[in-house]
Amino acid sequence: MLHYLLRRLIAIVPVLLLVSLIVFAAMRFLPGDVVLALLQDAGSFPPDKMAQFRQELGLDRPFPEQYLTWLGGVLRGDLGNSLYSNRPVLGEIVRTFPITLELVLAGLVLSLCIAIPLGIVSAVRQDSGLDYLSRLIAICGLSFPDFWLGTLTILGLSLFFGYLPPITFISPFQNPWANVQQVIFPSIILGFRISAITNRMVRSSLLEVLRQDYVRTARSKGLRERTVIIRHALKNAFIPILTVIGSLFGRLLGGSIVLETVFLIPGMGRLVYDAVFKRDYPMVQGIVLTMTLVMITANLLVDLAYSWIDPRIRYR
Amino acid sequence: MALEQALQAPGARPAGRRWALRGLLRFARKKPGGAVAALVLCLAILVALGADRIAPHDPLEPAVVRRLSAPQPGFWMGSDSLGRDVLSRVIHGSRISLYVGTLSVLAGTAAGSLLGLVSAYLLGKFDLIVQRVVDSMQAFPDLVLALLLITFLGSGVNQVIIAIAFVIAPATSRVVRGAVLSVKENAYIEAARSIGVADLSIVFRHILPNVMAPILIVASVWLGNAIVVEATLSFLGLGAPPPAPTWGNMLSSGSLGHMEDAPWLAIFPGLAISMVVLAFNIFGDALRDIWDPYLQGR
Repeated sequence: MLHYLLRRLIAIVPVLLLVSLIVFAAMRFLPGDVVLALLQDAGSFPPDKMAQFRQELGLDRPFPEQYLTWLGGVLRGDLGNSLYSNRPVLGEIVRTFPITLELVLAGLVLSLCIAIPLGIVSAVRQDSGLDYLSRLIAICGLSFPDFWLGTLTILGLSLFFGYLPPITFISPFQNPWANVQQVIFPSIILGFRISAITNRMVRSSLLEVLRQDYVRTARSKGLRERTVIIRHALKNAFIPILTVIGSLFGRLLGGSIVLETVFLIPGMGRLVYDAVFKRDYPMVQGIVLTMTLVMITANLLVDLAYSWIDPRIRYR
Repeated sequence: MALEQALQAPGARPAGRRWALRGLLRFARKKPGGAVAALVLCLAILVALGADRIAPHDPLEPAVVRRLSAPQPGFWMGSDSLGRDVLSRVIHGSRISLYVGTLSVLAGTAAGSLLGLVSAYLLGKFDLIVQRVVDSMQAFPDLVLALLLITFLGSGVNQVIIAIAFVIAPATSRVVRGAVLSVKENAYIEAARSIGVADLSIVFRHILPNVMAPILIVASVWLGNAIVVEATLSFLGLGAPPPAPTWGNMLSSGSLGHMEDAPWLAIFPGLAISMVVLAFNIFGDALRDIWDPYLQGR
């Protein structure tokens, strides 16, 4: 197990390096740069001053030199300073990451609360009215864009309750109830969208497992249907479901960019969206690396959870 | 011989038509939901193709006197902040959404399939390098990758198509690679190789037709999704530049600013996206059930 874990951790390094190289190159090839973005509001600016700015920010140095300098900093735990606000990138990520993580985890939990019961009902009552209803809900989840659901939610809340999302974010430690009010609607939308994929997987794997001999044996022993489904079938159907959950983090993080923008939540998604437009290279690089790390870690945890769910799975 | 003559005879066309019609009827009987979705899609395609004739007004023509007017006869979906007819803009917006959705899926699945085919067939160092690049591309959240690409390429319809195709290609290549790895172990590939068939011919004449089902399944899944991604990019201000109407930019420009006084600006374009994507997903599901016998009833 330890050997496997070490191997997986080592395998993360080349992927992170490649991602860092891709995002670094992508940012440098974007038209315009942070100096133009900074001076956008300043009207005309002498070209020699702009060249001086670029020199001071190190943007005039050769690409490999810039990359290696930045990479060296990353290895020392220094992601550099924002070219726009001059604040440390790591500090900004530490400030905004918990907000996005709260949204993503709440969305994930809500998606499981929707998907697992619907998926079970759908599989147990295959081809019934309930099954079709559950599948329709899943397809609707895949089809309704999250920004539209977000816009409609704000519209409904403002028309009927006079509620508009607050401009400043309230931490759960500051005021838990206000925080729940702020996060609940984007989380439900995120959860609804993601539940569609999990729901389909729960139904499909459960249908597969329900045809197995051991389920027939459990039923013939006289076990209650609920025990057969939850203790025997669902547990064995959980591995593909877990794999899907691991792969959902990309969608959750992508969804957080849109929903944080619609609901004015100052999380990491909105930060990266703004940073791309402002050509804030270190900020984009730092956030994309963090997002990649989250996705890789989620998949690693899912892989490790396999052996916990099915003890026959051994990692060597 | 008689069958060949019958097929080659001029009378073969109506027989082919009858066969196609029978196939359609069988599809409608087996998958009524899929058939209704197909009808909705046909309607959406017809609307997109005939937008110039169907739209009651010019989608770009402003009229200050009727700005933000509520839905009423003549302006069934109301008008936006510049007085432009929302219905006409929704009708014209279908063109861009369907065009971007279809072309990006075609380009993305074609590129991903080619990459998956070649990578799985050649294996070795080429496969190793391609797979690590694919790993890295998939390590980006889809929207971040599209965001970076659009910013790099600039805004515009073709740029959006390229960006979405880039998102689709790695996922497709993974699926196709897996299918090719299994197909290439079949005896008929070994036989083709042993009689000296060229690699290119083995890949495109013997392997590709046998992995078409997963390719079509992936494409059907992505069709609806590509329209949502296009609308999301437009909503974030990265799609086709104004004044061209797209469903995403109609939501972005109108709805948030006039949330309370003109809710129709948020409702109708979103309904249009949702209905078309819903139809694509239901139709895709039905096709998947028919093409992939393993998935039937799942």
